[in-house]
Amino acid sequence: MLFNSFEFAFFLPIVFLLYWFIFNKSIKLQNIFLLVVGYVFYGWWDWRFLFLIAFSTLFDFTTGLLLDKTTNEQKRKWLFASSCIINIGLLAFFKYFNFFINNFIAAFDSIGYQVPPVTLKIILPVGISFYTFQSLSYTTDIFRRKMKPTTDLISFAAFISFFPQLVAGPIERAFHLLPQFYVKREFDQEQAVIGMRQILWGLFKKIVIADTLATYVDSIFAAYDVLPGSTLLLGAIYFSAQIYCDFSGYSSIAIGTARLFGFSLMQNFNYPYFSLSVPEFWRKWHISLTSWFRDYVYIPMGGSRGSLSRTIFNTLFVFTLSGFWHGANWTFIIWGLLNGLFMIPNLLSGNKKQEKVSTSISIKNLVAMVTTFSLITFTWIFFRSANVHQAFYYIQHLFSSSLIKYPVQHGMAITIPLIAILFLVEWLRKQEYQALQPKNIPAILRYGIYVTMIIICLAFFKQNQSFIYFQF
Amino acid sequence: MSSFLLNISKLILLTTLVLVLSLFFIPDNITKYSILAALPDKHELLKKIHKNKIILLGGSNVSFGINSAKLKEAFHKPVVNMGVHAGLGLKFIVNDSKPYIQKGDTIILMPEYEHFYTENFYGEMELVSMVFDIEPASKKFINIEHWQHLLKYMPTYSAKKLKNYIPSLLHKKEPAVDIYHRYSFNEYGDAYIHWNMPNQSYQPAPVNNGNEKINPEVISFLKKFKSYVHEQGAELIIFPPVIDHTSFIHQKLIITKIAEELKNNDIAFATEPETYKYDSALFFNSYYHLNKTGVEKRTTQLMNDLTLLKSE
Repeated sequence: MLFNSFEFAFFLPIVFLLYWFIFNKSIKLQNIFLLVVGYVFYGWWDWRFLFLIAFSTLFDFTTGLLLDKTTNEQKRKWLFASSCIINIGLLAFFKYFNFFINNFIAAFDSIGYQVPPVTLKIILPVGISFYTFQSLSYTTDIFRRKMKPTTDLISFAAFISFFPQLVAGPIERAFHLLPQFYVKREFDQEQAVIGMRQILWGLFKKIVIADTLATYVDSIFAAYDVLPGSTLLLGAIYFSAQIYCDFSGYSSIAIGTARLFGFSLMQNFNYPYFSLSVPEFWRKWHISLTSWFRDYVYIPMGGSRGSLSRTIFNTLFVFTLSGFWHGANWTFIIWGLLNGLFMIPNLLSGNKKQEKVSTSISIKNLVAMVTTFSLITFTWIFFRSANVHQAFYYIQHLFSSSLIKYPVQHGMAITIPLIAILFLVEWLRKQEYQALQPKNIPAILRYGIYVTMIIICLAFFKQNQSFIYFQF
Repeated sequence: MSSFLLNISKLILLTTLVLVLSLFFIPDNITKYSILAALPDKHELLKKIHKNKIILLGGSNVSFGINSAKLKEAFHKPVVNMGVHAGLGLKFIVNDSKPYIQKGDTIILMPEYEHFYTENFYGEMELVSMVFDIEPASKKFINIEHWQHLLKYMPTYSAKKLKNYIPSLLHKKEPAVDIYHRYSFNEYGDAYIHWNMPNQSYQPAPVNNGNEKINPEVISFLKKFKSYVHEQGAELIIFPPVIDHTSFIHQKLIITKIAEELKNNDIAFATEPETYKYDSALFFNSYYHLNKTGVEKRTTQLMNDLTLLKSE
């Protein structure tokens, strides 16, 4: 079930009313209800994969209890290793099996050995990368003795299958979200209102901006071999805005929906395109994944505590791994690696600590912002391309003499104003937690804004427009 | 909680009010020149011919896929190409043609495959546009069950009308005739403006794993239509639509399922679906829309198939 579907428009109010009016008598009832709702929501795609979530849940729940009980360090290490193997193994099988097999066959082929193709028709369970990481963070934190395991299976299962963030994050840490399942949620009107505004702004970003841009991005990337460089540049900029509105739109809806049920999820985007450097961008983009890799991969590898060369290696490794997490394709690996490379100047300048973020407008800041946006946009070309060949061809043609030609139209009359609206609204609101926060405005005007936004969303609505990050 | 629910209710009511007003009172200045507005023009063509005619039915695979003049010449019968848009739904497309079917007519139905296993059978936003703004009289073809399927398109349609209305106030010029214009059809109802245009890029149909069920309502509906046509003293022939090679491969499982289902119900395709699988170079801007060369090839093939059927 997509957030931007009529099914969800019926599903959400029904679940909301049942949750607060029927199942609000006890924590247990609230959690059981959320668990059932999570499984219904997920099963809407493919009920067969519910067994996979149930298995992961039971396995990590049991591992967590055993890790806490066992005092023998060797045994604990084995238990933790088994959790990693099972979780990553499932992810690897569903997501990477064909990638490895194809590359293995290609490698043998290149040295003259013919290996018969053995690719399997594997369907990628939606959201597997997200809930696997969430579940893995639980056993890791227990292994590190950062938290105690839960003995309440229902709460744990409800935490893993919490429907607002089940399929595309934010990837929550157990120590932040799980304790929220231990207390009875009481309705908080202020939080619910903020949640509704977040949902509306998220839908606006997704339906109005991302989906409109998607049409042009698709046509530009489909005809990349015949279009002039200026249009390819336009396509890359469009995709930068599209992926931001698509994914941050999803996150806003997820966080807003969670608020309606009395939960607080972590912020996933913090106006990343106003960043003055690539490291700042990565502190503000997909925060839940970046911080996951930082806490569970980068820091255990030594982080920035060792020599400069070691820090650079760690950075490149983590970014490449992050690229691979996105998908079993060399385009994602190169995308990750490029982002890692763009972090190096910062590391070389000795600026390992988080620099202060400047919010003032100055020529220097503007140049830094445009430079950061350009570098990130450049990397998105790899992310969007179907294969590495296409990405290189796209870049080669982009930086050709046709770059100075007037671009082939591709909806500029609608896309440019939409992108301008996005950046203007977000710039004006960048000090706030979220963009849509009409303050000190008379109620009638506020309602006018909401109704207008809903109607614009409906006017731009297209059926079956999935979210980009669902494929990961 | 109660004040929250009250505020949400107010918001929903206000939005609904605006949408209802838009649906019933805002003129749609865009669709009156759209491809959909060609349907009343096609009705006029049908009204002029009383019997022994060939009626081509289907979605845009029909309007973008036949040279009716050649058919007329081959069979010495007047031809009307009623194809407009698959989004009108097979149910409406067929019901809309019924009043014009008379003794001696040949009805050639070429439904898009999506009609058999998706909501497409009942129509989409194009049908809402048709019954509210283009030909309100066609509401008579929509029963309560049919309305239930269309309900979900109404909010979006109302909102789109508003979106179109505001710019149309500033820009009152009639849009130029392009490939999706009301006047992009020739005297037989064939879309022809694109015949001299170069091919455009398009996405093939998505891969279908064949798991969808064929809607039994479509089958029983077609069986009833066949009986109706026979009662009128006319003849119904169902052909598979033309489709591009890649899309056919992607959809092969479901296409086979559709063909088998039709065969089992005595309303089989007149030929194997594979025979209308054409090379992608013959398609203009969609896996169902042929270019001029494709149109000629399909028309010739259709003529041959019809001749063969008549001789059997």
